[in-house]
Amino acid sequence: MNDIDDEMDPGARRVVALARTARTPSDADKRRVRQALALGIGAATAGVSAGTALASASKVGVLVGLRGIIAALVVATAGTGTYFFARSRAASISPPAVVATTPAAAPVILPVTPPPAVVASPDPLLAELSLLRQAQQALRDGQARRALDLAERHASLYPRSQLALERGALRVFAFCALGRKADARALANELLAAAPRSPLRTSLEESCAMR
Amino acid sequence: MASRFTRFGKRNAVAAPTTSLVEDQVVQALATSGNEGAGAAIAAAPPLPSFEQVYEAYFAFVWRNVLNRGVPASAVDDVVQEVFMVVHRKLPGFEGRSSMRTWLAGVVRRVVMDHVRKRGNAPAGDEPLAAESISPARGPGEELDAKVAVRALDELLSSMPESQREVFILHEIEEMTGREIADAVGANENTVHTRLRAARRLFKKGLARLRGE
Repeated sequence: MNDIDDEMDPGARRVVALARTARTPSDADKRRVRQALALGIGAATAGVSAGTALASASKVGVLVGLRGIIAALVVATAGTGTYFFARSRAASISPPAVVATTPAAAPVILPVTPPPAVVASPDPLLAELSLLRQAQQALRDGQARRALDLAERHASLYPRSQLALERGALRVFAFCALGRKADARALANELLAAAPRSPLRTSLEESCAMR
Repeated sequence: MASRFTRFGKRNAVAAPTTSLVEDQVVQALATSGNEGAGAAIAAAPPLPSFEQVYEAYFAFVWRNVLNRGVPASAVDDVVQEVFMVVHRKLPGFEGRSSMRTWLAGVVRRVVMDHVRKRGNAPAGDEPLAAESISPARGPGEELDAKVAVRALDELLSSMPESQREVFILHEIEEMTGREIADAVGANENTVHTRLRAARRLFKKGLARLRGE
């Protein structure tokens, strides 16, 4: 490429440079996709190993990187028939399917298992995840009130959490399970307004909040 | 790097022989940062970067590439996410024979093609650009609007054959070398060179047309 004799003129370069800058993503873009990705990778992993996961859920979980962000959020609330899971385009890469693993009547949770190295040096994000997992578990066990309390404790401990959207979704489902449809709807609307392109959108739309 | 538009030859003259890419260096630095002996880290083959390191260092590269390849803004999150899903799955098999950017550019290429195929339509940009909006007659001190630049870029890219467009994007926007592009698109370097020249000509002509020249 050293002998290119028709270099771009300054005007053309300027257009390219401006467009390049304009198309460089923001930190918010990076975080948003990262969160969706954590969920998507968890979901895809869950899809691949669905059979094993159901039999031995503790083996499911995938390490995603530096901070050990691991998330396979699959929640079902048996009582209301409401369910949510990390739905993502990415899950289509492993089509066997998350959907198949989440019958509305059969609550499923695919836990997150951090590798020992991460456990040895606790990560704040993992601590957060642990709290949210407890909330999921409570929801699965039909303890919606407790799930709500845990989600609210999470909110007070981590008001600016990267997992705020997931926490909000859990609260919506807990509200649904408690029959608090108006609360569910109000919160779901807030969440969708704040993150209209969230991979959780479909799950929220399918919850009692939007029906 | 004084200018992103310097020729590769000039850049390569001052950069490491393996790669002149800032991101690759960042990833390597991250990957070796935990090693005690810096000397040993330099001498040894660079360890495989973690997924998170790749994500941190190349997110912008992937994002821009996806957009510049014509994926609409409404689908960019999904497509970028899908690219990194593939990266997550395949990174353990990355052998470092090519630069990370080359490898990623190949992944982006396949995922975007797949996306376009599934959608059943060609990549499309925004509305056609008004000719006067990019005219240099806007005044010497007046900054070209970034949005206008993006639309002009899209329009000009969409006027190129796919084979030229991708070379243009990877070289002019992402500053990849001819060798890297050749590896990423599966063509030989001379072909890449030819396509780049053709793409530049189209870009130049198209820009003049947009400016009403």
